[in-house]
Amino acid sequence: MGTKRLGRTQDPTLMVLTSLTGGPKHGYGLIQDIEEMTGITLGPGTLYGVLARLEEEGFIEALEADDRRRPYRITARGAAVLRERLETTAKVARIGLRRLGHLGT
Amino acid sequence: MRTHRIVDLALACYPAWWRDRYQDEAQALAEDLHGRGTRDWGVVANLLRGALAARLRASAMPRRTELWMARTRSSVTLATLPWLIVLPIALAITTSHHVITYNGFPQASLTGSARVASDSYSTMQSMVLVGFGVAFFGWIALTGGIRESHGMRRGHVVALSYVPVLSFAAVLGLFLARMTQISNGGHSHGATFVATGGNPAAAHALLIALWSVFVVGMLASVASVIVVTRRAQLPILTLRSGMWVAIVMAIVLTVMAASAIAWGIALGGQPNAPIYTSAGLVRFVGASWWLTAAVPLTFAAFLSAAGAFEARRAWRVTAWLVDPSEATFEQSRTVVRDKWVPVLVLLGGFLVLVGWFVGIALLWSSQTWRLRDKLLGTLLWPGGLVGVSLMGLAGSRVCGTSGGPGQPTIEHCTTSGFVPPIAVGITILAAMVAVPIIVAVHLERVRRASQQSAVMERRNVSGSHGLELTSSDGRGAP
Repeated sequence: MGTKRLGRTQDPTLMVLTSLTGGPKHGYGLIQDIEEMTGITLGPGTLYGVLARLEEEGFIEALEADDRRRPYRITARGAAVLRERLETTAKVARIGLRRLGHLGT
Repeated sequence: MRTHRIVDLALACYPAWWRDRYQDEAQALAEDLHGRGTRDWGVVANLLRGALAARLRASAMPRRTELWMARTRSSVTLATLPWLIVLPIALAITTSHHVITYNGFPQASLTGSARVASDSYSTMQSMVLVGFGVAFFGWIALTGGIRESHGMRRGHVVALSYVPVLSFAAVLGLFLARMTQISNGGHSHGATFVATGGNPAAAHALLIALWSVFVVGMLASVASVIVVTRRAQLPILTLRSGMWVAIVMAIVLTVMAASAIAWGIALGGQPNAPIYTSAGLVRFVGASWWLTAAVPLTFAAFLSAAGAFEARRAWRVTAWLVDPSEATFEQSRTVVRDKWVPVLVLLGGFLVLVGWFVGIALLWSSQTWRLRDKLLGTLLWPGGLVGVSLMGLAGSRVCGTSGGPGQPTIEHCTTSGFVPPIAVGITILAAMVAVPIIVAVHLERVRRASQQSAVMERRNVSGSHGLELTSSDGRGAP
């Protein structure tokens, strides 16, 4: 309901890292998992843009390919950065919801 | 099968480094998505968008020296080739005027839009010359770099690098040959104009030959520059020269495009209208197609600016990859250079305008200021304090007296242009002078704030990872 007006609140980078906390996944597995989590379907161009960036930053690493499908897993460094981000987001969410409660909406 | 071919075409749009690493996986994913009924065109559109992002931003390009060197070279090419491509248009428009001398023409007749038109036109002509100078410097740097490089067919690359210069020499030769065949004037004989001296037919043929060689030479030069920059493994110092050539060329094209627009607007709806200068009557033959020239010039300026920005970024990453200590040294030099920017933007115009151009080049090449600061520094006002005096806001008012013995003295004043009442004039002038000073102070404040935050960041970040989750532009490297 009008959430698009808030701008881009769903960060594909965050979705991919969060999905990988559930275990290594290849491209199609990531798309399915993110769909289940958020209802959003990432396109292959968007997904591999994010995967390439995260891999270059050392937040994820590629595992041995099964046929052409290569799984990825989150690194310790990626997990630490994700934790930091999620804690900030959770804090904002808690405060926002509490204040909304005070407003009675 | 048709779907696979479309997906393959979309994947072929990605850069080589991306295809080497991700093409097979992305292909398999596209097949999986196709198998579950996802629309193929949606997949293709998403892949094309990803390919564009990978090419433009190269945000995930591996930090390998050869890749970033190649990116620096291609960005410099992107910034400089537009100049070569629009050169015929720029030359055609800047040589399309006739000056008819008229003795005794009033000196103060150049006012208002005529003055803007004349100044803009002169600026375009100057920028064409500056562009030639920058291109020549770039060529010297390029050929020098090729000689120092190794591991390629150097002979071929050196030969190709001479194509632009040989083309230019051929055009110059034809131009000089034509000059010998141009008539020295003539007289009307009835309805027929009889030329004196020279050979008009030969001059015309040489003019056609000149333009033909020029266009063919320009196309050959574009092709040779592309091949050379793709093949030559240039040394880091050559890449740095190339980066500066890219930045200055982007500024030259931007000023040229802005001048073309100002020129066309100043001429108003009077194509081919003559304007009057102290030298006589100037008639712009090409005025009727100024828009045709302004559009490609503007497009070229945008393209060149994009290339120059990317050349700067790619070179910084390359320098860091080659030698991190050198990159740190370069950063410290950038800090020193940044100090001069507010001064040069404000006062550099007094150094025959060259100082202002240097200041603008440093401003746009620095990462200290954001886009809006750069636009402010460039547009308010072009030339800095000198720009205020060149704007021709105030007209001129010349007074003299007449009268003889026993006769009353009469004062005659001639006003040209807009001359406001003195109080209003002083207020407007003060405001106009204040604007570049305020902008310079703003640039200095931003510089100091940036410097302080950089110091704080170094203190805070040392020891931690210092990377953001969404960091994506490769600037984390240097």
